[in-house]
Amino acid sequence: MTAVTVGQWTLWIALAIALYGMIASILGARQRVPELVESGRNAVIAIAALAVISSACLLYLLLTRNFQVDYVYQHVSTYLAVPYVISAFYAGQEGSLLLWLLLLTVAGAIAVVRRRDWNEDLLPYVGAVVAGVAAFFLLLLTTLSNPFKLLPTNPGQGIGLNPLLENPGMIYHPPTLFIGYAVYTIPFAYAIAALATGRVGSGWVRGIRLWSLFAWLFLGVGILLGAQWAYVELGWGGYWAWDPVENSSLIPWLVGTAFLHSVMMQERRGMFKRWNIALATLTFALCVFATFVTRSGLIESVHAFGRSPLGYYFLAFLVVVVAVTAALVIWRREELKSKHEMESFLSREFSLLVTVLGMVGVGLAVLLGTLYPTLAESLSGQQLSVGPSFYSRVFTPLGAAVIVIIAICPLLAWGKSSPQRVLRAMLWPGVMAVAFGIALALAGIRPLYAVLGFALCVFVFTSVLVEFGRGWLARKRMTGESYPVAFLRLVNKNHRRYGGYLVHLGVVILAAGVIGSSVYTTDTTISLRPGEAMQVQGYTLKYAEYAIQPTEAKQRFAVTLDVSKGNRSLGRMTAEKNFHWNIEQWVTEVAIRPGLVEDLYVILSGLEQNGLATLSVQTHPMVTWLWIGGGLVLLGTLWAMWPRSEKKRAAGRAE
Amino acid sequence: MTENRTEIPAKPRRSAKQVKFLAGGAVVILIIAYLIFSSMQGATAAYLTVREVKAAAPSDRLVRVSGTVVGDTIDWDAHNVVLRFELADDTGRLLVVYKGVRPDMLRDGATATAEGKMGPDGTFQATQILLKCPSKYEEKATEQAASR
Repeated sequence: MTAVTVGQWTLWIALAIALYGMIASILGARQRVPELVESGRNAVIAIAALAVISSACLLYLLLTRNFQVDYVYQHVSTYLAVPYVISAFYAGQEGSLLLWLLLLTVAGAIAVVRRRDWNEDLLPYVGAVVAGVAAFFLLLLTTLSNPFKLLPTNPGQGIGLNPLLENPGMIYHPPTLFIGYAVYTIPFAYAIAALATGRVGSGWVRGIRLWSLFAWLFLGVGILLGAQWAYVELGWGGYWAWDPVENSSLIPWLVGTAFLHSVMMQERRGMFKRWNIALATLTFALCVFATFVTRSGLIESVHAFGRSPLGYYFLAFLVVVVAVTAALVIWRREELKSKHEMESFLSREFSLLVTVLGMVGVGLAVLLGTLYPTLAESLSGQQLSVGPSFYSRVFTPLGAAVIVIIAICPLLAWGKSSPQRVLRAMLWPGVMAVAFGIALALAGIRPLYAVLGFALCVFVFTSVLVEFGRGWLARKRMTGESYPVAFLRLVNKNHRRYGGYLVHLGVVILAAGVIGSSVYTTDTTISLRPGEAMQVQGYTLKYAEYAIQPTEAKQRFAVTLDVSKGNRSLGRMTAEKNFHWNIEQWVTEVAIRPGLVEDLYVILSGLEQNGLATLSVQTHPMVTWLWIGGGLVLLGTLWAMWPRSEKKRAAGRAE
Repeated sequence: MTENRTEIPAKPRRSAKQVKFLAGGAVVILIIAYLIFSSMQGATAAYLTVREVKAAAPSDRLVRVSGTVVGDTIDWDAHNVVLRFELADDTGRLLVVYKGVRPDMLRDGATATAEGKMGPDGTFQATQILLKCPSKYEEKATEQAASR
């Protein structure tokens, strides 16, 4: 029982230290007492250390399968494989909150020890915010949501993990998302610190650039990994269902994207100061909201909300976050005035404003769609649901607009651009897009709005490539370097710009994948007897064999098909549908044959004792493009984050 | 490189020009707001009880009805891919017809939500069935089935 005691007590001690650290940091900074500031910083490091110890205790209890601990009993069993035992750490509410605390405090500790000239004054407040947020999670962990709660007796066996969660996705998807959520605390902490000290200039936004890129990257990759997991494992034939839990992770990512773009305005032009404060706060609040949605029944029904007081704690916390920020913004309203004004609609500034409004608007649309049923129920008592058609109607035009802005924004200069110059830069992309669109339409591709969507993607893709090419040729001409050297030196000279371009390319490829897969997915349900063959969407599916056999964990139902297209054999595919004894549930194992053009996706829906099989045969065009686009976004973000060597940075300053 | 380009001196002009950009931003906001609200129309489905569903005239409006699956009424025609079952709530029982694959979690006592329309023959023509298992698992214990 020692691990239980240690785990529990470290949380209580951490709560006390967090409260102390918050007060010490603020007092120390306001009264200018270096000893108190130092002590506050040490407190932040101490809570991180305590969170590590407490997490280690929970992990130890899980790995030793100590079923007397309620949380272990709920999520682990004696026959659960070790990787999934580790993943059980965040399979439930209590462990997830502990993981949040762990990631948040470790990020916070790293933030407060990275002392530089520019953040000397800000750091005490950063530490205070980290300690304050940690105190909130610690309060939940020590009272309502205690991961170390004991059962009266040791049951000897646990319930175990839901087999739907027994997928490699469970190991990497939730922690990736959680890292994104937790790290977004640091930009928020800097925003509050900037307001508290009145140093709301470009210093803080430049300082948090790496933090916000890091959080954005993890959040985005986490969302994509979740989509991929749903696609291969959950067996309903899609990667995105506009499910509240999925939506709640997308919303902070969209607002975080707006934030990444609006900080540029402050760095370069001293504008958008209020926007940046607001977006940093909003992104953080939405991350907390997402955690709460995932771990509570709020969205399904308001009644579930009332059942656990956890919801009220989260609501109160969000109210405090927003109220404190708003009060500080009003206090600092003079300092928050813009240094510059907009010059022209045809400027980088205005197009960035539209980008920010667009991303926040899409985020709010998703938030509204997610919350609407809950709001309607609590206001009028009427129960409603919002269907996917809402999201597709909002997303189609706004997505198209965002894509166009991606193409145009980098072409526009700060201040003012001449229309002739912009039109000239858009010439080749425009020609390519029109030619491509006409070619698709002539080839018989319909509907026309999808053709238009693809043409827009080509427009953006070409315009980004032209930007690359222009810089490349200009450099070669100026320096006389060979083509490869000129290219490498160019992209190495401005990581941020070329990383950003790579991200834009990735997003466009991803968008093309979304258009292709959402417009052209087909689904045919067929019934086959052993030996029979059928043609579906140009594929010939021949029923080769089936198996109905009990194993230790499950009753296995499997159908194997020989798949060919024309005269070309594509090999065998086995679709399964298994009844798992421990949870008395069916789990579908989809057979997928991925391809660049389309994935063939076969779900076994039913298998009778005589071998009669019902199969859902689906084609999902261009889903692979999502993963390729996501990979480019990852590479581009890493490139943008990659530090330049000291020598180059010094040279850059001297320039 | 960004460091020394940051602060370009501001022009001390505060003018009607800014109103133009505010208006531009406002137009963008209005467009987004219009899209959200116009899309919300027709994308929502109201939850009704079995009695309300039966009382309503056949119409094109999507509704949702929730209830408990009555186990011995489940009739799954694998060859034609048609599923029929009765859904019961406090106000009565409703025969649901769903042209699609039988959801794995459909069984006696499961809580099901059917989305669709009342057909002229008095059966509920479901286009989507959502199931929530009476299970101890807190996550992912819902299943979605939809006919595309």
